[in-house]
Amino acid sequence: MDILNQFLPPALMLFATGLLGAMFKRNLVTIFMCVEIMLCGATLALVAFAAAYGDVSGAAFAFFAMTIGAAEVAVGLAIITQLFRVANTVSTKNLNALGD
Amino acid sequence: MENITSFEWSAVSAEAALFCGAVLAVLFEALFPKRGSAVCAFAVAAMIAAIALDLLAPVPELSFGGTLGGRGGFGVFITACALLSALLGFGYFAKGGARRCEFLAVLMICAAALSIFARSRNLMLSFVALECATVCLYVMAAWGRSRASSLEGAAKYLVISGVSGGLFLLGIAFVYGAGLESGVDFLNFENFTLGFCSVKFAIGMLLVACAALFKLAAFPFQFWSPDVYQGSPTPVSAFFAVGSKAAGIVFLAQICLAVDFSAVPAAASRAAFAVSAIAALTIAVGNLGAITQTNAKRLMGFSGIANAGYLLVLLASLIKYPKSAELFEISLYFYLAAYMFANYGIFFVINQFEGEDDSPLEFSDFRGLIRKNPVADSTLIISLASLAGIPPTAGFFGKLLILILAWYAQLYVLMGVMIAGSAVSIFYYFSWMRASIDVGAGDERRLRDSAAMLPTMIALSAATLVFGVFFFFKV
Repeated sequence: MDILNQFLPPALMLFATGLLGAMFKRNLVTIFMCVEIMLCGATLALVAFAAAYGDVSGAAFAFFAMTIGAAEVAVGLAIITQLFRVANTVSTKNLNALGD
Repeated sequence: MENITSFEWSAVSAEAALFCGAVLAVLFEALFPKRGSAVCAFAVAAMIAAIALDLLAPVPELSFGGTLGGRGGFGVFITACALLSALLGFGYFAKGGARRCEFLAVLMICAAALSIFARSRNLMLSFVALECATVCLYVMAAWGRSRASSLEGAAKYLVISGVSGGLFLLGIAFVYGAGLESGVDFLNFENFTLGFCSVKFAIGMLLVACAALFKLAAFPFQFWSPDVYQGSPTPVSAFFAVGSKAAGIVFLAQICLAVDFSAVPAAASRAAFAVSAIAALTIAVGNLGAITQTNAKRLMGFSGIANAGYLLVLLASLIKYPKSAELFEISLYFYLAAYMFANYGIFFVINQFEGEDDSPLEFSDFRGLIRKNPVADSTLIISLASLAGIPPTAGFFGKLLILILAWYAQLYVLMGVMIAGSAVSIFYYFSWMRASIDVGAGDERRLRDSAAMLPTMIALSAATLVFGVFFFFKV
């Protein structure tokens, strides 16, 4: 139980930081980092539960989550880099090729 | 530990065919770079084999230690979507030529992952399968990598999808924690009914449902879909519109079918209310957004949002009236099939226009289509009529089935919203139809030489017409 009290609040704070950043930041790279912080927070919560109750499946699943996060980063950064080459900006303010 | 040794590979034969076909296609293309067409034919053969396995190979009700469920109709559905998107791709990439086989490979992996996602009976497997499909969707959305519109759509999808993935993972953490607290594995679908006494479980499921609503493009998470549909290459837009959306609703349906709502009446009434409210708002947002739209692919985005709303009406009636489970599944797949025929019909017509970038395509560009390509225009008209729900088409019977279920569940207000939404939708679908039968000027955009695409378009419109009447009288 003690482990849960120590690790769950920071996990949720990490998650909230990421969520707020993803919502309010303007730079795509920063937003993408915030999304990864969200994933980190969620993974930490998972590991905290696993450690608190001495169950391994959650800790093992954290590796799956990290692998998926890595794949997402590889593709995501490629897209953002290519977007910078073509549109010459990574700020959401200047991205307006789509829309009415 | 018996779970780990009890792998039944025959249970995933169709998905394995797709996955191995994709890997081999990439390998063959690297080894024989000049035999592109042969490699594409191999990939298509693998997809057809996967459909055959889906239809014929027997599958146990539960496999892989209870994490993977039976087949349902979704495997065939998603592979058919992939096949149609592949055909669209042959038209779309005809000019560029290169990278066709890689596209097919990514498409097949995505279809296999979505199929596993819809069949999974354990939230951890759902997450892994969903994220595998999502990474493929990022790649496909950014396929037009020299166009800012495609990359911008992909970047938006990337960020929003990343957020929804984070919500899903946090949801899993909460459900997992609740399960550890009470000593029952709540990640397993069959234990969901027991979980509703725990607050942590309820929070977790709410977050998981948010992620599924995002995939479905339902109300609070709908804003990405017009942008992504507009920016992506047409074969990908079609896959987003049909495949990704269908995966979201089938996943939600699996969760709802697993919960015994008569055992938890308080949670059931709250869930029914929430789903009804989201359905009504989704229908309203989709249809109101579509009214002012003149861009063809953006309109498809809003139309997709409205259709997500109709599918949620179906889900709300299931929660309110769980006895209708059997009719629910028939109606769900009937509606999805009708939606697939109509949507792919329209995207095949959009794909007829020359040039790699069809994101700026307006209704006015369709002027004179009836003279230039009567087959494409009749496909467009029949498919739009089906989406609008005009009687002899499959779309009408699909909506009728949803309304019947909503009637059983006594969701009268929701029925009113749905009928009003359909009435509004007639307006914008008809303004598109009117533009296409206008024989006046507006011929700037040329059509592709498209003899190969005509049989598919004829087949899709015939399916829309025949499927509805035939299937409805069998029910």
